[in-house]
Amino acid sequence: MNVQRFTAATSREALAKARQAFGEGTLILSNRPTANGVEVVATAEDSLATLDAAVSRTAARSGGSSQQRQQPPSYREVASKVEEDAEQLAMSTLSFQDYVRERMLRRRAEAQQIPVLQPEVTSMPMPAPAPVPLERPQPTLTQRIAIDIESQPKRAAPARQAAPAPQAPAVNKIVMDELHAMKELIEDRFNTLTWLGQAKQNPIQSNMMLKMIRAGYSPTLSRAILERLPDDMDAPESVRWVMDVLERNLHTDAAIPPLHEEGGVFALMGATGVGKTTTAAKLAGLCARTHSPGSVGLITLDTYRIGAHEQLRAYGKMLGVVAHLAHDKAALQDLLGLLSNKKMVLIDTTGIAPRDPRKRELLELLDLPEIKRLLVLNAGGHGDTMDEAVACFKTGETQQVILSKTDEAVKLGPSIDACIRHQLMLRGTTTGQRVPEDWEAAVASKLVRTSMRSTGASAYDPKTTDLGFFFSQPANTTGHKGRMNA
Amino acid sequence: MLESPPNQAAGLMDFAVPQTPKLLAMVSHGDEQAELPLLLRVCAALVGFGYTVTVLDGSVLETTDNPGLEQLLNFTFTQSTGTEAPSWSILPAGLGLQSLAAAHRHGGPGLGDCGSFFPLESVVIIYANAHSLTPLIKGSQIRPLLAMSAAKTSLLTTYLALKRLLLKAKVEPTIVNMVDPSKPAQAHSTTPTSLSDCAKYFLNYDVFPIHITAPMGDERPSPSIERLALGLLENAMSLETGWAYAPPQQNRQSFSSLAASGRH
Repeated sequence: MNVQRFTAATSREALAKARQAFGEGTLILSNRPTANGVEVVATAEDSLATLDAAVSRTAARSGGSSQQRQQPPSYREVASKVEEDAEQLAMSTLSFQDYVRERMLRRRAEAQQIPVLQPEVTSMPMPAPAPVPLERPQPTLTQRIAIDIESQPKRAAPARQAAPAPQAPAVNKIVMDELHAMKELIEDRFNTLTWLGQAKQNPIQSNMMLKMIRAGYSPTLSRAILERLPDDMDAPESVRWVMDVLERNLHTDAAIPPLHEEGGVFALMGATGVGKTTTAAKLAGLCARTHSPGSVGLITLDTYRIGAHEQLRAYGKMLGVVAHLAHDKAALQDLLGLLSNKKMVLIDTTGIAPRDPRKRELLELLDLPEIKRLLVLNAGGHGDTMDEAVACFKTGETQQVILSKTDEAVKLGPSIDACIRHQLMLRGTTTGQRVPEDWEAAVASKLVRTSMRSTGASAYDPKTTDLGFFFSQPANTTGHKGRMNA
Repeated sequence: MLESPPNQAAGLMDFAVPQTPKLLAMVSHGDEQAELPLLLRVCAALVGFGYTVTVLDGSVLETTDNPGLEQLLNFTFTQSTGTEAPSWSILPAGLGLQSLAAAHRHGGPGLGDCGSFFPLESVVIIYANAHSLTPLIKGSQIRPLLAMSAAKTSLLTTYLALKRLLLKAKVEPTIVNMVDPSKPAQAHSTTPTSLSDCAKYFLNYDVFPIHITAPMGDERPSPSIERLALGLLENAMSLETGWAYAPPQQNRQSFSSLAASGRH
């Protein structure tokens, strides 16, 4: 049996020495103070097992006589011994200060060694890299599609003689479809020409059309509204009528509490540079003002853009709110659990272009029942850009949207038009850079009024004679027109 | 003349809470192989996030050569300030924490009132055993970090610390299982499972450990440690500046004289 004695200034140091000698399975036999410090007698756990075996053998030989001689320890003695052992186990043998110091010294030593080694390494001829069996890389999205197609069992080429006769009906169907499409096109063109003719004859309708298109509304929406314009209205009445229709069709959250009072988990999504992080900070500020800073939770999923987390963290620090970072869905779920007691949790996402393949990954990441998505649209953007963004981030439920940078937008028509045609619910607008002051509730009448206000002369504004060009293209499908409650 | 605001978020300052240091805790229970590397990475993560960190190491006693919390409380030592000050520091705090606990037990100021001693820090971490931590964080919202590993003794010491924290301090720890990637997967699940079983059977407490891969050499914190650090901040205790007797230049009463009745 290997029993050793260790002495040191403190019991911690003595224990450390013992552990160094016997490893994890160190068994402390005694621990007593001495004149120079502390003395610890220890052995290895394995030695005890050997001893146990030897003792049992001796006991077997000597029979029960030895048992009678030795008094078994009382329960209390054993319990107190166990407690002492546990306390000794729980005692630290290395302080954090020493640990950090040791690591720093090691790093410094490593740093000093590197410059010496570098010239040797560079002067040596580089050996040819050994052929390492590379792990098969994970396919990217586009590769995955290709692989999926390749991995499908290839269909046997259809035998020509197998279906010779049914070719004729198929060709007929194609021809019929083409004819129908042509018929629809011709009808639509004639309808448009007729309508344009009527509109030109009716100066009020013609002027209204021009006014709407100049305000940035799409020809599709403008025509859908003006087709229903009552004939007996004079110019001011028709303007009011058009604005009323636009107001009625622009859905806002006027009937429900505003975002920061409603609360919940909101993910701000949208294209790059639309102002998601600033909008998140504004909403966090509003919620903190209404409730308290402790009622707000901030999470960013943006690990791509440089400084994204730092930006949100800077806002969070001002409020005394921690800005968390989630790299994946599991982390996001953990964080949502951690922040479940918050009134409002705001998730800032990576800004991605609508055609970016990473979009699908982001949508999958946010596919959690408690997360409500808020699409942030730059109010100054082009109508087509907004259409694409809306279509890209479309979800099954009613899509909620925030119009950002309305102060920068020359025309609000395109954004209101997109909201109406895609039946989006407008939850608010941001009107400047100040956090959180430049946030406004969505008021349909105010937005429509602002959109119809004259913005002065513009090279992009059509003239009366140009109106025909807007309708020279075949009308879009009903899907593009959207639905409208005129 | 129009005055422009200092920055776009100046409005947030009106209702933002005053910036006070946040207090975190980590339990020392003898499993240095798990605790120290984790604590180092947590500190690194917090510093990376722009926080100034001070670790109060309760496992080391203050001396005249190596002053710490005790000297800080007695105004005989001040931490370096100014631009040259490091972004994180370690102070011995074995005696200081005992003094604070004793003072608090006798109605004196508690740990939560020590904000004025850390004017430049944004995060203060106490690293001490469960026995020392208990009187300091009793009934608070802190979720002390309790690291465990596959080491033989880790289960017993973690369980003891957990029991003390739950029963005496009335706080729930954040239990982290440090997974050693070089060991077989089964070894990682044995200790947490046993701890869960013990905690459920004896304490009627459900343990949900966070599994984190033990850092191997690299000083940089992994994303999971970064997430852990931010999660700890979420439940941190604010150190209020209530215990500020007088400006440093004036005749201040030392902690010893104020809390003499509470000292052992």
